[in-house]
Amino acid sequence: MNPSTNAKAKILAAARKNAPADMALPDRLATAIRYDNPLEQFSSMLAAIGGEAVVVHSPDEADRIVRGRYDSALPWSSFVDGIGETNIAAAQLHDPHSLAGLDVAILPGHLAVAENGAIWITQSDDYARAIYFLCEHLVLVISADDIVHNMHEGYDQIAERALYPHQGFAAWVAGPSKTADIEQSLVIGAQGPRSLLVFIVA
Amino acid sequence: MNHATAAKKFVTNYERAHWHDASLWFVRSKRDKATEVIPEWEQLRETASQIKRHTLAHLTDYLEQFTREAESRGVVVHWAVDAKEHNEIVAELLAERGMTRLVKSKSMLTEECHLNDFLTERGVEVIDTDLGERIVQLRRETPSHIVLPAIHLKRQDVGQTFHEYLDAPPGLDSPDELTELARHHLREKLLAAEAGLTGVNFGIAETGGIVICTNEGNADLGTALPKLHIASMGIEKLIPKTEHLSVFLRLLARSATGQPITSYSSHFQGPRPDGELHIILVDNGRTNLMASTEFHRALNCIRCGACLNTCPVYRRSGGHSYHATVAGPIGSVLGPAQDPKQHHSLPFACTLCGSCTDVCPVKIPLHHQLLAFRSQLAEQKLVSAPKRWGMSVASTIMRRPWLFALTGRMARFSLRWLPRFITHSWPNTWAQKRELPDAPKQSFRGWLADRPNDDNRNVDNGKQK
Amino acid sequence: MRVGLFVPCYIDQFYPDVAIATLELLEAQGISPIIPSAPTCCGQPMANTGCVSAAKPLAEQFVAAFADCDYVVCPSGSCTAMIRHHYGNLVGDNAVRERTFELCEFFVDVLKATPMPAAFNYKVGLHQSCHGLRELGLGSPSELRRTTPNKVHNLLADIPGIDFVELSRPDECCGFGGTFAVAEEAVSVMMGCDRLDDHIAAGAEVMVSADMSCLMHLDGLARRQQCRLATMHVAQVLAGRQPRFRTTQLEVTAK
Repeated sequence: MNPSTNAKAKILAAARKNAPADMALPDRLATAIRYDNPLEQFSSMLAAIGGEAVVVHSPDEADRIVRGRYDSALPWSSFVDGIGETNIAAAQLHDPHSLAGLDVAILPGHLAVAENGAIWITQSDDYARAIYFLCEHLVLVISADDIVHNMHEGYDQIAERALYPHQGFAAWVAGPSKTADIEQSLVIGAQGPRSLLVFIVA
Repeated sequence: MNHATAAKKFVTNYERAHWHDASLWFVRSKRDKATEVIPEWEQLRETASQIKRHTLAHLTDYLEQFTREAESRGVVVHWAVDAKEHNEIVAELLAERGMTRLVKSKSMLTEECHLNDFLTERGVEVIDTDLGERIVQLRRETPSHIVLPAIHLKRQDVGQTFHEYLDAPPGLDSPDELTELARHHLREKLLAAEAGLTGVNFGIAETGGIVICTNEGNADLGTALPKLHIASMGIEKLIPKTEHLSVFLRLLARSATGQPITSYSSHFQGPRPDGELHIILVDNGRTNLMASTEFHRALNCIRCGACLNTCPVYRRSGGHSYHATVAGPIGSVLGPAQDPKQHHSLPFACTLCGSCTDVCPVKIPLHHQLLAFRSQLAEQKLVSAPKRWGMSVASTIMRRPWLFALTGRMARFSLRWLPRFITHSWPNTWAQKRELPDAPKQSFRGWLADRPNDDNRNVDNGKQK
Repeated sequence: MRVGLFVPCYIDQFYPDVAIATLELLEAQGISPIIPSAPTCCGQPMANTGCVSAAKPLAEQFVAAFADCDYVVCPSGSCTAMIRHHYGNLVGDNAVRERTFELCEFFVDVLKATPMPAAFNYKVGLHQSCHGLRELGLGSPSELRRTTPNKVHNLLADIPGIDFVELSRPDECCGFGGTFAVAEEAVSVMMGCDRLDDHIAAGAEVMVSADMSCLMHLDGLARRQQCRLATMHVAQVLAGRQPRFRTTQLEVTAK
């Protein structure tokens, strides 16, 4: 503890002594991009970043789609009523390592941003955060009413609705995992999920 | 440790240099496309610049706020004056818990501190989980780009490395298959890891939270699996409020790779209920740099790499030619700021084209800083004596119009009359691949002097022939 | 108005026709500029090497020589940028600095006139020099999201017969960079050859620029490779000069 306390004092003192000339915090940006059809923009951005958005009008519709697309004989976990199922043991949900074989995870998203296809998720008491990253196929469910135009509105909503990190974690999820580290060649499905399917409930 | 020498070697393999240039220009083009669709792009840059400049001016207050907030949530905040202290803190955290298997996501700060070697020497297995970083780690190389660590490698190089170290079949070179192989390899390591170390893209003073941006999901796996999360953070990474993330997250990925946002922008605020979060605040020369009127704005850097991608010199010489943790324009300021003697050639690895300044999302006046560094280095006599002397002589000649005219006439005469094998011989570097300009018989002033009706010309100082 | 003409050192000695053309253009507008024998050099090579004390006396000479002028015109983007933006460190705030204009800027912003030569029936590749483009705002840098009218292009655009080609990298640096051309010769040459390749691939017959320093480097490369691409300064085109071609046409590479 002691060396660190000395370091703290040293660093803070140096930062105070060497502080550059003051500058006021700027005002918020006067205008930020807005779209005629945020839902459409969100969907096309999501497609551009390797995900897929499907508009549904009922959980049944979404349920049929996931069951048609993925194999429920494999380990699944769902936290959205009426869509998919949970066929793994409850204990696994809180043990990150045991989620390693998870095939499909169906989870709720709080809000979505049209400008970049991002969805805000927060940690839940019901499962370990690893669920978002260990599953092979991630399915997120959002309401069409929760689509905002840009990131400024996104953070406004987070503040308004108190969608802060819970149990230490929250994230913008924008598409499946990906990398272009080998010769700038885009590969979808790097270390996290190989796919992201988003149901927009309208 | 001279950039020019290393660059010359790089360029010698012309095909490869051209390929490297084209790859990075491609990234720059993607950045352009991504920024074209945001009408308020330039205002975003200005806003971000002001936020960062404000934060630096009040850094002590924000650091104190950040620490208070983080600690109130159960985060343990450590402070490291330099790289050595940082490395020792990491090593001790692991040793205290008997941990020897560490996974790491991308952190240029840990490259700066040479953390990997430090830990390996102490019996810790360090696995870089970012694909590009893992590739260079296996090859025992350093990353050549702060965002695209393996941009200097072709797929066949990666295939060869995976064949040597990961049991890949020989000749495997499709990015899809190589990535799949790495996925399984890294998944194994992530599941077996005892601790995860990450960098920090942004620290939020208002909440004591940190944000980490990745595309692969490796930082998230590295912190969602093992229970110990160590986050190494340069003190300059702070921003005042959560809402400011709206500005930076709109700028970062677009500037870096042309994506609207990375796949994951993870917000960590306090430890996992079943785990620990340790944040190490690192100085390592940053407070020193704050004191420099000329260069402190380099600390506003959000490590996007846009300046590297746009730099025509970086693209044609590769990151390793810089022999510094960070290459390219920003590296050519940060390197000499840390160690002018070692990195004295870097501010000269630049034509002052200014493109870097234009792409910087926080508007660091990079090319002005690079020029300013040159005068500092000259003052410190880190510019070669012949160069300095030559400029002194040139200035003496230029100041005296009659001497300038005489020298010019002699030069033109020699160029016209001396045989080519003398004028274009090896000491004349210019003439290796270029013709010298044709030498006219008369200078402009000579022509002017011969012109009738010369009443407005050559006034004031000096006779002119 | 009292106008001074500043002739950069290398133009005076090696490219006098660029200064002659500039003078013709000014005289055609009824301007008879003063052309003092000093300064001979703006000091940029010294300043760019970090040798500020070597540059200072040249800057002082400049402000003294042109102290009485309403405008100073200079047919070089890089020298003008040096004077306007970097003389502050050498001679402090000075009105002469603010009144110094590059040739195209002077015509577009001050004279608001467009010289119109008879014809220029050639495919032209416009080389936008970095100093002119980014420091003086002669056009819109491709990386900025801001549209600025392209002064050099607009001055040339209405010349009968002129045909601009589209480059794949409209404003990449040529690689001259002053002493960089020699100190980092390998990268400098590669950058220059890449520019030439771009112009040739786009079908340019003549490369035109507002900066003779860029053209000195690019032309040097082109001539060594016996490439047909001709280079001309914008002053020369506006003054009605025609290009001179070497007879052989060959591809340019950096090998």
